[in-house]
Amino acid sequence: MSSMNANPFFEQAQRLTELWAEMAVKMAGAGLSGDPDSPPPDAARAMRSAALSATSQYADQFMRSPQFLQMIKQSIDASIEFRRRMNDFFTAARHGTEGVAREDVAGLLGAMQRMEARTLDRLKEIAGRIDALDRRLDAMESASAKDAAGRNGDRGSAGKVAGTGGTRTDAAGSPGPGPSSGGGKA
Amino acid sequence: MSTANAWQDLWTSWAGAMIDEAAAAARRMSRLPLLWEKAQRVKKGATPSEVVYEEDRLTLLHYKSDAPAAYRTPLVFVFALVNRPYILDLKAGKSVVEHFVRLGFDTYLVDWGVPIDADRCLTLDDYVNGYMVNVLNHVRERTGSENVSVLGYCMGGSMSAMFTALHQDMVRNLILMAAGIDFSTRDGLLNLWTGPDVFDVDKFVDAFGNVPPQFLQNMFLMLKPVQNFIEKPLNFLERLEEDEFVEEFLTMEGWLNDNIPIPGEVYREFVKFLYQQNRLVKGTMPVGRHVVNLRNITCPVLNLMARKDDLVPCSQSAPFNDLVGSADRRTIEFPAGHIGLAVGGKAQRELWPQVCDWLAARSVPGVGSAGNAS
Repeated sequence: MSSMNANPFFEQAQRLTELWAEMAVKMAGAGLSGDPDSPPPDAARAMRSAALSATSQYADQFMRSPQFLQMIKQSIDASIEFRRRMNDFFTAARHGTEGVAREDVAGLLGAMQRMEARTLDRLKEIAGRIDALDRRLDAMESASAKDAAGRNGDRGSAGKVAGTGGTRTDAAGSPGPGPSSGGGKA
Repeated sequence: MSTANAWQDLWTSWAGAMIDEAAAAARRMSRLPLLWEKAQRVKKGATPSEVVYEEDRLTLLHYKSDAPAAYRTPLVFVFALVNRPYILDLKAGKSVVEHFVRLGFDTYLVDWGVPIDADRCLTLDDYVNGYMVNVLNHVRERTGSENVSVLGYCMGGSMSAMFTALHQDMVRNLILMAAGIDFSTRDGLLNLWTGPDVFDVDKFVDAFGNVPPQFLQNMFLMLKPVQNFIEKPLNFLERLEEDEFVEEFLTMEGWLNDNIPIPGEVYREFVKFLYQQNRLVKGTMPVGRHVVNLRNITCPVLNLMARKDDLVPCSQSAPFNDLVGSADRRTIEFPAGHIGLAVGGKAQRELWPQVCDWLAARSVPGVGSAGNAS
């Protein structure tokens, strides 16, 4: 008995029997539950609907089974293999006539994509370096402006220094309207 | 005698019913030759629109409205790379776009176009950090709005979530419609069929390049084989005399069979990183040089799910609200299927007015709005 249960054909036959039994029960139920005065086509439709509903449930269960998954895998693998051989054949045929095959175009596209990626990476790197240089330049200008303001402040010992004196810069680091004169007015 | 009479009556009624049914079937069959002409009259898209931006195969549609915009925050629809996006504007009375345009939203829709062989190398990075950034920048520049509301449907929803996580400053509100986020669930058949031990996506894409539309279509049909191959044709044949039903059927089937290929590399990334490795919920989803962290999403989010969805089960969409950093989060689980969420009669009557209200409350009022202080 255990060897019979392990037999896949027995399992499939059992499943099929269950399917037909359930369909028969549902169809009979649909037929019996119908209005006896309703036209026969309506009763037939109700039975058909019950049968299809049962079939749909079993189809869903079957499509989740390992057997179906294996079938799908084999089918797709076979399609892939067939397509691969067709590709190889047509590639060889086109190369044989010194023509251009799809694989050549795909290779070219891949190369262009890699070139684009490298170019964009390089541009990004250069942009980063320019930004860093900008920041250093701004820092240097700011430092030199402070030095200049400090020297002006030392020379004008009796005078007051208005504001911060020196060259005013805005937040972006670009110079203000122009260097201040000795009084330190902005 | 009475038993014989009863049997005779039964036989008579059965015979009469069979004759009536045969006559009805003949009448229905007589309408078959007219189907071709009806199918030719099916239009794609209902709301008037204009193309305002193009890039490679992509076009950005702007839906025109006579009334001034009631809201300054524009709305951009992002559909999947599978099938055509006019499902969101299928016909008058079955158009999601129509709801928003009628209420005064400045509405746009991204049409990804039909990929050609050369597009097989396009990746999610190209779509999310390339095309979508360009589209939204164009919309922001065109409308003068600082940010934009985004509504993503299905795969477009997954992409919209990734986009928002990477470019939160550009997005004011995010609405997801039946979007796949957590692919660990085994409720959907696609999750089983794309498992790494069943489907070698690398070999598939290497051999086919762009994913053939017939492959995708057959996979979708196989999700409900009895309904798609038996019940639907039977139902159609039995209702051939109902003109309204036939017109809706042809419109819907026209869209369902209007399949397009998916760029190979996008498909590879989607299947491998999402279906097989479920990286989005783990915070390790790579999009180019970036890694998507859904916690970076802080804008208001509305997560729409279809209770009877076989393609993207609710369990795939539901975890989204728990993964984002937004304080304003809402979920609506609606009793509809994946497509019914957009075009179903009940969704048109009950769901979309709710969504419009939600978005209106979170959009900047426009010049045409009574609430505008300027």
